[in-house]
Amino acid sequence: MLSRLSFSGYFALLMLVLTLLFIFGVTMLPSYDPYGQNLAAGLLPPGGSSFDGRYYLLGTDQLGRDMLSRLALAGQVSFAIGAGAVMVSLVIGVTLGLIAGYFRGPVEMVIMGLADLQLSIPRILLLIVMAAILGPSPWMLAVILGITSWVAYGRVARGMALSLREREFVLAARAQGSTATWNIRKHLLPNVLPQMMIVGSYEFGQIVVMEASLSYLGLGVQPPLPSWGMMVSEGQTYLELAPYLAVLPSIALFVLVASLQFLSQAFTSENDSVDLPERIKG
Amino acid sequence: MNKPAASDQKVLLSVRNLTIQVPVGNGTCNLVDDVSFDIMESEVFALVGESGSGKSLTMMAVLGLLPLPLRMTQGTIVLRGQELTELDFNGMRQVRGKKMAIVFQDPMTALNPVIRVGKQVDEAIRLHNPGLSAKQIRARGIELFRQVGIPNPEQRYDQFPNEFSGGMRQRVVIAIAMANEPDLLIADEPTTALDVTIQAQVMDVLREVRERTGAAMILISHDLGLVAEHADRIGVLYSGSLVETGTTEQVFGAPQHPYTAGLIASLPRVDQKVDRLYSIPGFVPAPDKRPKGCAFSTRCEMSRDRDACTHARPTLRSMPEGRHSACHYAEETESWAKAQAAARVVLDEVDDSALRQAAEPILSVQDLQKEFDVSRGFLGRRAKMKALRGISFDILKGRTLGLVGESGCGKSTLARVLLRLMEASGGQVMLNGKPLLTMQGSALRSARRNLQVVFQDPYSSLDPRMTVHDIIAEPMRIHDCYDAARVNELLAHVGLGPEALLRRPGQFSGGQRQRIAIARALALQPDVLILDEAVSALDVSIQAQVINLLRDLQAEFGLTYVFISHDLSVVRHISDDVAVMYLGRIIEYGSVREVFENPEHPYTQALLSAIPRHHVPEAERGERILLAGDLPNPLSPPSGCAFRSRCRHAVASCAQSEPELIERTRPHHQSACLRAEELSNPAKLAS
Amino acid sequence: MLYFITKRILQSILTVFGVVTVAFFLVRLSGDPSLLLLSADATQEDIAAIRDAMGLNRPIWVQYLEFIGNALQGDFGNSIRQNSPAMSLVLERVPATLELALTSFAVGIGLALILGTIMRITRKVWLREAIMWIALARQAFPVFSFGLLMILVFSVGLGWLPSLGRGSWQHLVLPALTLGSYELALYLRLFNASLATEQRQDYVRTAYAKGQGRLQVIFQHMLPNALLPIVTVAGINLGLLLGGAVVTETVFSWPGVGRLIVQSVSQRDFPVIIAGVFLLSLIFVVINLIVDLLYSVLDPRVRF
Repeated sequence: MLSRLSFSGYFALLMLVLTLLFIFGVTMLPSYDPYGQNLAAGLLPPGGSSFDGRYYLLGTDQLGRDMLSRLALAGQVSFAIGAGAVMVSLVIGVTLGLIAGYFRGPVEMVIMGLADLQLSIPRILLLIVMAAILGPSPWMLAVILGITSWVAYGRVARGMALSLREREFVLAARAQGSTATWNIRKHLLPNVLPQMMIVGSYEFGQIVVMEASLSYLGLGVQPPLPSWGMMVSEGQTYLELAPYLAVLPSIALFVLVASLQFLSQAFTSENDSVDLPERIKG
Repeated sequence: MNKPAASDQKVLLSVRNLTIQVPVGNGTCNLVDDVSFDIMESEVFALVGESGSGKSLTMMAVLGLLPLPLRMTQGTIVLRGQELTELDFNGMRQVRGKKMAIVFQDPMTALNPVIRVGKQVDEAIRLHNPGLSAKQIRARGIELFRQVGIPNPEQRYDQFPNEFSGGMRQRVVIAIAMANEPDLLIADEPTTALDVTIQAQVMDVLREVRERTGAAMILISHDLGLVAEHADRIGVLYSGSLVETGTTEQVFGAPQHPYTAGLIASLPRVDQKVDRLYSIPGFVPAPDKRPKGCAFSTRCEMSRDRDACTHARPTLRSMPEGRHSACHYAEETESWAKAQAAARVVLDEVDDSALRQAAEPILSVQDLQKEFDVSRGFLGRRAKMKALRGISFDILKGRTLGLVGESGCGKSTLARVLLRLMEASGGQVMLNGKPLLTMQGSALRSARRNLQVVFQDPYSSLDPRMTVHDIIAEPMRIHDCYDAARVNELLAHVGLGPEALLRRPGQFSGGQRQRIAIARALALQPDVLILDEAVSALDVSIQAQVINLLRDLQAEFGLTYVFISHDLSVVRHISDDVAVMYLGRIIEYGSVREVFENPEHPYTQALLSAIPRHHVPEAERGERILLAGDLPNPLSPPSGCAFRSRCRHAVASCAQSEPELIERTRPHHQSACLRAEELSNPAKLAS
Repeated sequence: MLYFITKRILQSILTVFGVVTVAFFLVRLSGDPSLLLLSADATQEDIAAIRDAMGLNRPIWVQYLEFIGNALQGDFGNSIRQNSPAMSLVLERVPATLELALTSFAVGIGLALILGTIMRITRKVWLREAIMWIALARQAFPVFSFGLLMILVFSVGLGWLPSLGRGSWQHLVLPALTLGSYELALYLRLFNASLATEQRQDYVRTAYAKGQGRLQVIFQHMLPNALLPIVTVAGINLGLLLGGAVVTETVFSWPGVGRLIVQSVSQRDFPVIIAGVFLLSLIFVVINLIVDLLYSVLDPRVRF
């Protein structure tokens, strides 16, 4: 799979690695303190120093907290919630999708009906309502993001299962007396997993966006824990005074999500240059 | 039809040194290598070759439609004195559709699904006749529809492709190709996707339109029989190179290249049964792995590794009588081919049909039924489609029953019902004396061990993510009797070495995959093997290998085969008994020799007459029975005899009741035709 | 056809019904709504009285049946915060949401089709790649941060356009561009993939073999086929679009249904939440119904 990656694929991979290095590296720095307020250093621009002589690479927020440390910690929160949610949705989606596609009949109708139902409520609305009700602890966020995101995997897995179950190697196994569990485990699952990874890397980005949106609306990660969405929301108040407050977390979000999505695109991109030459001989 | 290529004939298309490259890694690889040939005015030139020989690419290059990244790097293409390779894209547009037109293989995908067929024909006319009014164009289009034999052309002109059957769609494609009466018609496997009887109709249409306009035709095909019947001259391609050209009679009569000779020798014949088919060893090398010297040298049994073959690349050289061959030892071919033919042991078939009644059958099917619920039409009314109706037959241990019929006749449904992949709607199946259809749980599981299957498509029948070892071991793991030594043993039985074990299916050719599928089917030591079109997807030279393997295995393990196929020559070669199916019913049943030599049912007669007989001189081939129309809709079959809508012998009484499958003229030979007695005796019919 | 329509309408009703049911039970799960109405120093008697008045003492399924019965008559109860029917509060906001959603949909899908066609027509690889990467980059921007950047540039920086509220057409520009560009990215990727698939189909070869030129093949043959999946996905993605509208409305203080729901969530105004969710899912279901019928007109292979 890696050998098929193009230049842009490697670029995306590099971007992802650098982002992760930033997110997890900063917390190892000696002056790392995302919570410490410094009233002497409120709203310092990037590269500014406070009255008490401290240097802030990315400036400070309205409470004088170090933006660099807060961005890194918020990134860890986003990444962890995203990873948890992807796991949850992947497991639910693949399981339900394969069951629906393999067994068909009423089971399929119920599962796909559930998927349609979920699709007909905007995901963010469902999340808003669930977050408001179940409480926005990071764990709970990962779980509710996960259970509202299974449909993408479920639909793809079902589609593949529908065609795989008619493939002759599955028919041959059934003719040999294999059980449904055997066929799903030995034949369907290994054949859908690579595709699920591609869906997963795309969905990872989408989930990070969802979590950020929730936090932006004040329904996601709660203070004092920082999150990129919340930082943008706080920064909106100081848009004219200190635009970097909203811009920096936006850039951080963009880099993480873009690298995940470019990677997924690089894996899926097909050679679509099938076209005709200008001349017969060329 | 087979005119000799007289020297005074004018050359229409001349292809010289055509080379097509594809980038591979850092270098390139020649998919078509230095191919040269001429096509005369109004002749039919056949380009024959197995998959991967480059026959279709050659023609796409002639049309200037090679898809990137393929590139034609060398060569000239001259059509009526015009050098096509010097034209740019727009220049070629004046040639495409006007001077040259093409009929593609798959009529199901060659038409745009969301545009009315008439409009697609109109486009072709308008492009090269900008002066015509819409009305004139439509009139011309409808005229074309009439010429290609589409009934009710005015009505059908405004329909969408999905409202047409495969055969009818191919007629539309032919109408588009003939819209501007081109000088050269390219037919790229025009009938490969169609059933035998429809295939005959389409070839007939092609012949008619060609004769009317005087167009020359390039017939691209893998089917030697088809080519033998329709081509004037033949060019044989092997692995990107032209290895032989000559008239049809010359090539089939006395091939000048060992590859051609081998191909012809490996075809089963419908008029005799031989002990073993000749089979070309090995498989076609990948284009980037061709051997040095002659590309065929590694598979050539005439070469015997002579130095010239393994070191020097033979070029196409002139032979007597205007023929060409690309073999260093072309002169030896004729005697080598004769030696092969002499080595063929024609089996003397004794009539053993009485045996069938005497012994206890291993597999006995009685009155098997299968219905599907189909919702259809207005308000989603439920309808029942009868896919299998009253199927009965017996097979004795160690024998082979051939099941033949066209697509939609129910033969694959029958296989699935027997394998309990689908539940039957009625009837009984006894396997080793036990009722198979009512078994459940562990009884069913152990019964399944005795009944195994090999499917058609070697690309879909193996799980691409498993190793060959795991594939062959799977049945044993399912039944908890895994034994690594047994896997090796099975692999050896089907002629593969142990180095194959850890590789995955993607690394094998079609024939090798089919061998792996056979090994898997044999893992549980079954008594009965259902072979569902098991050799149909394979190239001729590989097909003979697998057929020979199947016969060897049968002899060694006393296997019983249910051999499902649409290819009557292969069925003739491998079967002891044969059952012919039409619309879910067996309409003729008996020993293979009986049925093939004295067919009683008009459908069987038509099928048999449609088999190309390359080995029989044209004059002796007998009458070709062309069935009219398409298979009726299985949801509303004709009353009485289901075949009567296409039967030229149908009489009023045929509509009244469905004829039973019973012995009508000879013992042990059953048929379901009221007029069987007259039809099997031409003298009586005439009176 | 009639059968199909009836079936689809029944399905749609079932979906809306399911959505409302889920919303009702989720809201009930969240705790006692009576507590919201009372000040912190309310006595037990006060609570009991208000519970009685709201009918909260009866079994939940009775409450549910009553809720459905009222909902069928368009009555979703009164807003807890504002003393007016929840449904009328929501209906007031519908025009604003539709205005935003439809404008951005038109901008997004219109540009996607134009750019997608350009990508297919051009032989310049760099142009193709550039369009694709810009679209991908846009997709990686969350709606809210993209919206903020727009405000930063066009309102705070250049001062060309207002950043908040609804009124003149200038107010619509930034929210519609924010949401529309998000859809543009989504549909462009899809359209491009769909065109690439069509390019490999046999009928394209047939068309070239007739002597048609590239533009004729693209416009007459590939486009009608490539649009089919867009139609389907546009319906399914509507949920995504309405979701994007929720955030966009908040960023630009756009007085639509989405913003109302977000506000009601923070105020725990449950009747309004349920009424809003009901209305959005109704819009979704109706549009999908239309899309399905449209599809059967566009694709001759689908006939019911």
